[in-house]
Amino acid sequence: MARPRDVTDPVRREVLERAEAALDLEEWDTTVHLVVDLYAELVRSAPEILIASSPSEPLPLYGRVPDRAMHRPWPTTMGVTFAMTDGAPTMEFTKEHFTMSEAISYFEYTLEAAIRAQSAS
Amino acid sequence: MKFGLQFQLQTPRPYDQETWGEYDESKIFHQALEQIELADKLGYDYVFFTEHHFLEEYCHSSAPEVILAAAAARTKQIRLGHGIVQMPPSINHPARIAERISSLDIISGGRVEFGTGEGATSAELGGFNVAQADKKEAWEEATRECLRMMHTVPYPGYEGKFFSMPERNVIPKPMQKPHPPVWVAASRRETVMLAARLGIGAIGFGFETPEEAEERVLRYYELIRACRRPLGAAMNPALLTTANMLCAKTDEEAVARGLSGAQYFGFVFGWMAGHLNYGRDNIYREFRDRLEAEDSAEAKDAAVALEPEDESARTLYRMGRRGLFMGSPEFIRENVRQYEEAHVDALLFFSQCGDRRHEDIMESLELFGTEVMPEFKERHHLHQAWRKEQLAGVEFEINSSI
Repeated sequence: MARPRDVTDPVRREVLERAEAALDLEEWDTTVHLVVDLYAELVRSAPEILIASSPSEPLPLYGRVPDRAMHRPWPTTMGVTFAMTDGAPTMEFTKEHFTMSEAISYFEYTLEAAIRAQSAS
Repeated sequence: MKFGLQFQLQTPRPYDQETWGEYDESKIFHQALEQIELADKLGYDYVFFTEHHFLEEYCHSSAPEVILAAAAARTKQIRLGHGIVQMPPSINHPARIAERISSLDIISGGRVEFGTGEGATSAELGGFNVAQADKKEAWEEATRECLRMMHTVPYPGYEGKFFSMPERNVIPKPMQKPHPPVWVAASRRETVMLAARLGIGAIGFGFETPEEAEERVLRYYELIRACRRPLGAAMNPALLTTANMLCAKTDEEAVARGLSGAQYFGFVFGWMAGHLNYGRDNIYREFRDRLEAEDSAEAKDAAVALEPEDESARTLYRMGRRGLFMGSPEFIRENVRQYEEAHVDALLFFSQCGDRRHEDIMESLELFGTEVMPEFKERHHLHQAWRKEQLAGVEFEINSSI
């Protein structure tokens, strides 16, 4: 079960705890910036945690793989984009301020990625 | 545990025609009302209707408030849910949503469940000029304000990013105070946790396994207890899990009657996420031709290979398989027990899909309702006692039908 205290790496756990504390203080931008930096670090150290957006071949009987980028390796529809450039993650902010639901979503996504990184190592 | 039905009003095009016959859509609508009427008599707890736009064959429920009102008039106890209302103001103005939800709540005697969502496909969002990058923010703004409209007198007005309006008293007010139970469509884990942090219910459209559901339930209720800023004036701590259901006397009969419908569901859902030729695709024909292709046996074998890792693609994959609720009452009962043990609040079933026959769906509803459902309803008080423990210490008002 994904909670910040389930993350064994102390540095990553501390970042997640700070990010969650920022949620409690309604500092949405702080939360997003903290988890974006952490996610980039997770990908650099364990690129295998990146989730393939879709199967590499069409699903049987379904004809074609969805074109729609649902989440790919990172949820891109909430103001932070993600790309792999020369094997390294590049994350860019397309807006300055974030809402509560965006901050929570990015926090939860990164928390789960941190747990996956633990399993991968 | 409680049980409900989810309707998309799937309307496949006829295989050998380029468009629907004159009464094809009408037939699906009116058959759905018959299914709901039966479900109400059998004691099903919920019926939810999706809202999608322009998604031909996949979902012809583009005005769920209309059919829910018709259902309200034909039923007595079943709760009437939006699963969901698309909240971006370019699609539905929050004041109009508040008016419709409250009106339905009055007409139904206080039976509305207010499910919300941000929209998904580019076909729909693009059809209303909603940018993908804006949809979550638009959902949050619109849902929060819509709920305020339902219980504040007057509504003080709002200057927002996605809508603005001056002071008005939005009427009528709903019967359920301060507002009906609120939900959000949650096809992904992070949205379930978002729902918990906002104090609202999660309609899990991810076809979660019992193990996945249990994990989410525990964390969900932990976050509910920690919620300090509910989105509405009352919380709705509740988790629904969705699944495809077709019950028949034997497993073989259920699969024969139901599998094609589930496979079509997965196929047409995947189609909606790609390029659409509006008014010109015949997705059902495409599906049937692929199903009957020479390599279909190989395709079926390949379909049991590892599930996709991506959560959204995994949902698509599970949608089109037999799953845990296509079978005899005995088969289904064993699997429902797993979700009961996982403390899922309610199971929501897709039964109307693809070319499934209305008569088979009616028989399925009857069989499930009489031979599976009763034991779970008899034990629901135990689940409510468990919930009471989970909600100990919650300081906010709770309005939940669970």
